[in-house]
Amino acid sequence: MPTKQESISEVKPGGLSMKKSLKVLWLIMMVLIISMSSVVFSQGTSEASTTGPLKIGYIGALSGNSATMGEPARLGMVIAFEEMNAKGGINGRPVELIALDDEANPAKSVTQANKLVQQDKVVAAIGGPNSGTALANRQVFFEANIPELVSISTMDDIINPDHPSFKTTFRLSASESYLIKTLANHMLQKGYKKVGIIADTSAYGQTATKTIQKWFAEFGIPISKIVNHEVSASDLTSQILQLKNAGSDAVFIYNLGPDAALTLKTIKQFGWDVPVVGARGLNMQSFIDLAGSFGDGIIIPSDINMNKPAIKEFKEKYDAKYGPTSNYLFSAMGYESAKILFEALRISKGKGGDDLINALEGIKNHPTILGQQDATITFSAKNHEAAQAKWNVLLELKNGEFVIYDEFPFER
Amino acid sequence: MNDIALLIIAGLSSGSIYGIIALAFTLIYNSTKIVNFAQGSLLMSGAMFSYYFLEYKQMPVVLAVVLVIVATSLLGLLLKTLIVDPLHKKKAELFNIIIATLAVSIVLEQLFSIFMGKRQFRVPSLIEGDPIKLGGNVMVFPETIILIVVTAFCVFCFWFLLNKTALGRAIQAIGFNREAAKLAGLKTSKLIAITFMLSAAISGIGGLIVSPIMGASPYMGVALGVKGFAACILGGMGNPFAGFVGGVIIGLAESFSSFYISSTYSPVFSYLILLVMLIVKPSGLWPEKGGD
Repeated sequence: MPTKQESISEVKPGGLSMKKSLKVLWLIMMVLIISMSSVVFSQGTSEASTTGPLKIGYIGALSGNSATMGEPARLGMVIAFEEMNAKGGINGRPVELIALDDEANPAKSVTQANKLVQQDKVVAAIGGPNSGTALANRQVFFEANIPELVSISTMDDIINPDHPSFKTTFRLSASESYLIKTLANHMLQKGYKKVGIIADTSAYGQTATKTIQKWFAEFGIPISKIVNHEVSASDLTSQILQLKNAGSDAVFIYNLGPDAALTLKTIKQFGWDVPVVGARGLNMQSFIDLAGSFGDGIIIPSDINMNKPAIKEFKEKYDAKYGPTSNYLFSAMGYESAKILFEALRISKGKGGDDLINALEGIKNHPTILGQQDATITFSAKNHEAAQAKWNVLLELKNGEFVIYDEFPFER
Repeated sequence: MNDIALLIIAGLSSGSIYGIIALAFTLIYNSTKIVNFAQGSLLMSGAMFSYYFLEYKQMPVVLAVVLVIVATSLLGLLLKTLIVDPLHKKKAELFNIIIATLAVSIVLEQLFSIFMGKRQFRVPSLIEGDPIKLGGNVMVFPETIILIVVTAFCVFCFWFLLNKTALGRAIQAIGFNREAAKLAGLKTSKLIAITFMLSAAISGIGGLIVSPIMGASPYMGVALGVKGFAACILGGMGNPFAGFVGGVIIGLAESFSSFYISSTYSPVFSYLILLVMLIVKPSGLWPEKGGD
């Protein structure tokens, strides 16, 4: 029987000889060096062309768990692009969507942003559902002076007036603070005195926990206990037991899909009858399916009000193209992101850079399919958040469907 | 008292999930020395098939269970004939084969996400019902009981198979010394195919009992595979009990440290146990018996 030593030195009949594998190694190294240098040397040569189609990039998770948000957003954008091209485009130029998958990975997101800037020479970009990726890729667009409209991700820090990237970064979605304040108001009205918080240990859950603590302190809502768990937890007994033993009179859950379903199931397992509120991210069919009857009664905020005529109209377009679905939140956000950029491009006459940034900042009281019945979008030099007032509604899960709980939650 | 009982059940439940993956690892490792990194993804396949047959096709439970096990076994056979065999023929290093299993895990993940969707699916429990009262305030869902009992039963069956049957001894013999086993007249290729199928079947069963608790998603495999591998390292690769016990130790460490110390850092404690184990007794609690 051959020893290890022998089999290593042996030239394998079907494999590569030493010389050949060295050649392959060299080739791989050369490719790596060239691809890296192209990133370095091609900085600053990112002028968007002035003829041909107006290219708009989209970077979002089109695979992985976050694709449940990123992919519907893309589907919504496709509708908006088709509509615009049917109308003859902007300034006589057709619009073109270039959607790239970042797999919710910040490093990949930067690579894709570079590709959009260098290779595709996009005039504007739409950011996707993940906060980590938005934080990473906004820098690329800032350096190229290309405005990025973040469609779904909520982390407060993405729109930070003290950060240089503020100049080029805009957001359509309500921020995390806005969403949490909506829920805090609801809990204040309900008079909860001991709110237990459960969050996952990802950046999503942990930054939210800090935001919850901040606003609950401001609103004077006492927190009974904060517990955490890994993403894709296999058991949450210990966490729920701690919230229950702390005497919580309401539970705020900040996790997603299967984890949120397991949280609700464990609460039921203990026979614990406690009101539960959750994050916007639960507005997904997968959560509704996974939670089943355990999910009934949970209250979450949303950026769309399905009673609003504009969103009903969007729903009809979506259904006609893709067939009915259970949730239009993320597709509507994708659609609206594209529409806002089109409006700004119309004002800038198809020009990018500072012209487009100024055009975006000039958008005032613009009607939107998102938000409450009479919500509008206003950007300014100092404000890059679309969701300012009259935005969130509250939904309640009833018999496997999120229905309007409060169309006009009190805002402060 | 109730709290402690609940925490023990929680630890056993998580531990069974890690344990059933560890069991699948142990089987292939004992006959081929291959650490099959596609193990987590095979469990994911089991979970996705469970969704497909039980929820999507609404098949009767017994038929669905059989189909899930058959489908994952076939995946195991494909893994052996399409990936491992050709690499063996080319006299690839063991290391290369192990890396190939990692590639298989990525391919499986992508295939399921393309054909079944990039989302999480609900899978019903094999026996659905309200929580069962075990005394005091201790209530447990039937799926948790199924998870623990079925895993323990699988572990026992494989212990019996490996140690008390001719087939099991033959499988172990191949692990000790494949050339010698061949010379002794054992059909090594066929026997290895059987271990791959058995290991994949175990993953299928794992998918059936884990998915009612965690849901099914194309991306669930890798994280579970890592935990199962940790259970293997802790328990040792020596026998089917080893990985299960390793899994239960990790599960209990997680549930108790999360309750009494910190829910944020509970994974740290379980990996700390693993680290200490690697320093003190790197071969695990039940080391594998010598081979070539």
